[in-house]
Amino acid sequence: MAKITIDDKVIEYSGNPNLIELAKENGIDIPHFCYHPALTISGNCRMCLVEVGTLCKNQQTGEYEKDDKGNIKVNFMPKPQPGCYQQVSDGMVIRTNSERIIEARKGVLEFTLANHPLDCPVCDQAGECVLQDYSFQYGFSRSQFIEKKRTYKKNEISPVLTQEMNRCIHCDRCARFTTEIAGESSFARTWRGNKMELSVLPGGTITHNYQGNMADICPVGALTITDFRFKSRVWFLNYGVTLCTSCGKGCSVMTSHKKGKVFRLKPVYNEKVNTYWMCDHGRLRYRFLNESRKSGHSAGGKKANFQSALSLAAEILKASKNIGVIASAKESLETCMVLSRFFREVAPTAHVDYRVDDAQVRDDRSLRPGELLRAKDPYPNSFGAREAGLLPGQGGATAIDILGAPEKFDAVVLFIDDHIIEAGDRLGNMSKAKNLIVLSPFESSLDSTAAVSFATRAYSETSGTYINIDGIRQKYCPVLPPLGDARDSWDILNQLSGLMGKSFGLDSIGKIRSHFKLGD
Amino acid sequence: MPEKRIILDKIEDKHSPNIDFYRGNGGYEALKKALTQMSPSQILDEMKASNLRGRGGAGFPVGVKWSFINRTFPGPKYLICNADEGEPGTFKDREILQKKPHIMIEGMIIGAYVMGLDAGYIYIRGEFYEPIQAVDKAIREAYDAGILGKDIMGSGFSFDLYTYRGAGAYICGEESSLINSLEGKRGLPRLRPPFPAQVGLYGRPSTVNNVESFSAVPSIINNGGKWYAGLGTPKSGGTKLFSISGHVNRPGVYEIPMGTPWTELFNDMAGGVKDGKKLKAVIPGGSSTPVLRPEELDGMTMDYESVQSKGSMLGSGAVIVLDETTDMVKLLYRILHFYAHESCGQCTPCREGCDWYYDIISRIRHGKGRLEDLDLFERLAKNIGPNTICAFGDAFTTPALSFTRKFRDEFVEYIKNGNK
Repeated sequence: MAKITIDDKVIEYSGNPNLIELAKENGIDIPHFCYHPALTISGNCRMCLVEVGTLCKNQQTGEYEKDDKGNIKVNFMPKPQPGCYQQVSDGMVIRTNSERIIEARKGVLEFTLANHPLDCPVCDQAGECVLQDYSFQYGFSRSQFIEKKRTYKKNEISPVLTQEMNRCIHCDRCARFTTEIAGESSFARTWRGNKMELSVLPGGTITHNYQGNMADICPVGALTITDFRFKSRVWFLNYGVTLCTSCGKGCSVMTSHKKGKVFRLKPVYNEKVNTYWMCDHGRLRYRFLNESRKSGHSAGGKKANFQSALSLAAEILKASKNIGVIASAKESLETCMVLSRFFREVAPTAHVDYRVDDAQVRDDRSLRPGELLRAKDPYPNSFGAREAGLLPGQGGATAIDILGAPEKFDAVVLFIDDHIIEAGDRLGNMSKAKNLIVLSPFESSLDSTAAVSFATRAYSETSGTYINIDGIRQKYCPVLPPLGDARDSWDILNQLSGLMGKSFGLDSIGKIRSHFKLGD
Repeated sequence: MPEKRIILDKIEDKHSPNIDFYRGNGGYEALKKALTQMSPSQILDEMKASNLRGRGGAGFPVGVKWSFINRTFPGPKYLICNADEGEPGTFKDREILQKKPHIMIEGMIIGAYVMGLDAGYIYIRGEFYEPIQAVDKAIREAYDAGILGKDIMGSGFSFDLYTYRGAGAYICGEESSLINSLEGKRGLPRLRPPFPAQVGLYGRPSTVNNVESFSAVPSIINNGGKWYAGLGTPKSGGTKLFSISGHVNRPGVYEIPMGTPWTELFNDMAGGVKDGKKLKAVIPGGSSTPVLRPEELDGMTMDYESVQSKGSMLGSGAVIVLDETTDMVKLLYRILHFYAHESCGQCTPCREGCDWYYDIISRIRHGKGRLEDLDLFERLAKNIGPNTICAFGDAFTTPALSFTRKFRDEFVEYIKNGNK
């Protein structure tokens, strides 16, 4: 196996690895701004400079030349080389921490900072700013730059992003992202030299759905997400990884939250699903987790404790012969399994369906045209709902049928999710339903007309599994505490099964997973 | 040694741009010889024997560069002529382009034949309006005469040639940014490796040479590499064009053998300092090369090694002569203004460093300098040249350092007593 020495550490490698990545895997940080594993190499920031040496070989004998102490001599290249662009070869010797490199790094940082406004106190990037980190770690504490700093005219570049060119270090990640990943030639370097600007090209606009990523990969505060500006200092936020539920793709996301409120979503690297990115649509839909949330149950429009709501629901279901069930593919695979079993064994009905969206009806698992990640299906778990069998039985009504004429049923069990609320008039007829049982994390006008309305936990407050449009199963864990008395949907169904005399005994997510053989 | 005109032979004749005149004086004979009597490897041997070093400034041996191209590599391969003569002080290529374009075209076709290249591009700086007209006309004439296009002179070898107008960026004289510019991209230098010989224009193997380098080729074919090498010094073969400007009596382009003493070029050809003034300094190879004081010129001959031994560079042969009235502070101010304007802005040390240097010299020039600014030049330079993608970083720190070191008292005077 080929070997390379980085800072006296011998590392084995295979293939043709990137030096920065190889070093990172082995616990050595080569600082960089412009390099990004998903983008082409630009080599412009000069921060990742390393010393590159090769072992001295005697031309005649083919043996390695040794010094007095018996160590093999190393020939270092006269100039430091960019680590991002260094072709790794067997026997190579890399120094990332020699005096020369530390000097070079300091020198580069001095230039990077020369025209940087150092306005960290008012910059949203502070705390997660690469330039800030490196300045602490590698930089000078004082600048000898006494000239007037460069300033740019402020430009509105898009509603999603706020650009502050004065902070820009011209690493070109945003422009490379736009052309290489988003496939749009709207944003690029303009002007030249010290006046170089990253800007929307004349007459163009940024229209792609992935602009937030430009802010994510911006190593400084030159591009920030308008929505998050001045909302919170990042070090006051708590972080948790979960899944995005805004479409069938199921991108991995980092939720930033404080005092039970979500402030933003950021993509988390997930090799199989979204790699480094997520779409703006999903990114900005975190808001529904903060708005009109339900913390307690109600019966007949009045607050009710959980037990009384539960027994009322059990009575209704026992008494009803003809039950319509509109499930939701926002619910986890575990819930869907319990739900499916419930309406087969406890309160049998053929009128069960999860398909409230056209894409679900068509079982469309494709992406929207021109999109990198966003699926046509707005639900994260349609695949799971289908696998759980939440489809109408023989002669059963579809979800669309039930939504159209709910009064035909003795009782209707309705899952209300953020998508169906957003879709507008879908629920228009539901007030006509007799014996409506609602399960939802959100408040709605139906709470007043429903016979029973349960507060359920939103996906960010519970665990479960989603199966995305590509059939990939992804588990998620709670990142926020549940609101008030909100319960998991599977918990409600499990307790109902007990009250109705056919107890499942599935009172934990682990039991559900093992019962339905969903894995751990 | 007097002027020896090989490339500039008969250039004073008003018909010298025409193909008939050129052919009437032995033009395209070398091409004929190359295509009919010589194999590519024979020509390559002659080129290597000639000691012809690239005339764009770096002085890389042309024969060696040509041998980097793998003739048998499948698919199209390109030849590029760098006619983006942008170094302040250089105006030798313009002379060839405008008055004797056929000698360059002939050299290019021979080069293409040696390396097995399919098409050539002449990248001409946008400001060269008349030279572009002349080259375009020459290319048309060559096509009409069967010297370009399919089956050149019945040899079976085909080669197409095009001109491309640059937009006037200094950096596009750097070969990899020239290639980017030719491709329609921003003129930013590329990271190397790969070098153009592997991945060049449109990702294909390519060779880039200077106008003057190509123009030297026909005489090498006609007379042999040894003959050409014999004209110059052991390490720098042949003749070289020098564009001498500034405070001299007869500025202009002179073709002299490599190794000609500086005094001959300066006194005998250019006629010495204008108006009987005293010589103050000489920039021997274009604005980016270190300035030399008169005492450093003693015994200097005009070839790569000798100029280098004096601590400067021959560069593109752009000799700028400065007399005693020259204000070195204002001159450096002007030079750094040029470089600050021309930095491509791609990599950090150069983008930020250029303007920083310019800001510093502006302050000094306007009487607001500090003594530590001179040390700042020194300190910053250590982190510019070695850390940048291309040689532009060295191109602007070099004059700054050599000016402030060799004429420190003038800078100190400005700093202490202001601009008088």
